[in-house]
Amino acid sequence: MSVEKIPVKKARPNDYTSEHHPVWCPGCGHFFILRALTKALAWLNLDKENIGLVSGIGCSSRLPAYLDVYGFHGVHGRALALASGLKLARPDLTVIAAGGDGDGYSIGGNHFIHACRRNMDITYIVMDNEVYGMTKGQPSPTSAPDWHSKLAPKGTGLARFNPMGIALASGASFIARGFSGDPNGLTKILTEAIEHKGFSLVEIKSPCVTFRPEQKDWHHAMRLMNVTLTANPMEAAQAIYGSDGFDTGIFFQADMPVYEAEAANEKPHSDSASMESIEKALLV
Amino acid sequence: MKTHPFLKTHNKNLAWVLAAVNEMIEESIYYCDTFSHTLQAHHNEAAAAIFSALSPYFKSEQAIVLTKLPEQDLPNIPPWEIPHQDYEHPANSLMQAHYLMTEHEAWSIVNDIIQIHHCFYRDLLANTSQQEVIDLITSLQTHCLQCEKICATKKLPAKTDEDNNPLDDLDAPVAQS
Repeated sequence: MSVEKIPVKKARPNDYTSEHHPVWCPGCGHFFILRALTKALAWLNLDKENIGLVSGIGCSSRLPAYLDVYGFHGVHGRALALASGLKLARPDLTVIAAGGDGDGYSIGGNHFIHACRRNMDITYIVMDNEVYGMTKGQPSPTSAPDWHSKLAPKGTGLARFNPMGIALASGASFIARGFSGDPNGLTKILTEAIEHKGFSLVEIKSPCVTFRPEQKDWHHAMRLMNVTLTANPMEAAQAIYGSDGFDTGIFFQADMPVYEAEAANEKPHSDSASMESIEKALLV
Repeated sequence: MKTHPFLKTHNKNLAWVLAAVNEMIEESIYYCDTFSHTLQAHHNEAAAAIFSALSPYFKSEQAIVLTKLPEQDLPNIPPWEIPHQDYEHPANSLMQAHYLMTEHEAWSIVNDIIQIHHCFYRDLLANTSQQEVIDLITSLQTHCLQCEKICATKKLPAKTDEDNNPLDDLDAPVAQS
């Protein structure tokens, strides 16, 4: 008997997976994030044709290929710029941006700050493994200053980028940290983030088993879903800066003004994204 | 011990048991198929074969549950719900996987997933008096025992450090501090 015969009314996680199977390194945390995302989408029963998933470059940015929703594998660090444009043109879509710590916090660092500031209704999933894995192990903005590797002997000596603190200071209205090794808790966070009206940062600790094999120990270090949700930025700042990076849960969620197409004093035309209008605009 | 925030504590009737068990087995099938594929993509055919070999056993375990489903209107279980306090997600053991894993390691991981199933069934049996739940779980446990036997038979001895030849991997990860 096949799974399709289960008499359930709602969508199933497998409905959102594409025909392409992921080829991340076995043991990589990204597998569990992909699955948690499909489970969140299924729980929310979202129509596949109304989801836009945009990514940058890197291992984690392969995500759109593995989901059966509209996807755009974009330019390095520009996932949020693309996602912002998509949301402005099609405010009816559920827009999700995904990428890694290098893509989002280094190459795309400026886009990250201003996406938080605009507080558009976008969910931003950052799969943070503290390393550039795809290019074989360079330190990323979230690597510890003393992380020693062949490519950075004795470490970079640079303080870590604090994405959650910067998101809070820049105006993001939903800030959470998840762990790929906690599929249930992560699904809950992603569900809340997608439902939230405004910019949602979901920073996910996701071990790179190939270039940071010591990150397998994160499984023992993480404190799962132990954070108290607050809408007070001061309390959130205390929780974020008081955390050693191993607490998970929703740190901050507040009802704040959202930048929408209407706010730009120009409602999107119904045909603004049609091929015909694009071709017309390109004709000199 | 602190209670998990998403712990399911009541209304564990047959419909919920079927839905919860089906969810767990479906996760195991998904990850077995996914890891089999990625191990193959990383040229570790031996470990890939172990995951693909176990997938049909999980599918037949699921078939035991599916035969009961047409009689039941299943509840929608929130995907973050924890069925019992000691519950571990089947994916947890897969975090120990790596692309150079030996057959022994692959069998150990698969065995861990079976133990997660076992643990859930033990908890259900310990906390139910409903005969139909007991009957279902007993047959699932019998199936799990068969899977365990397969693991025990096929599990190869662990590789020693002396057996590991670094030249086996021409693109080995750098040892980190």
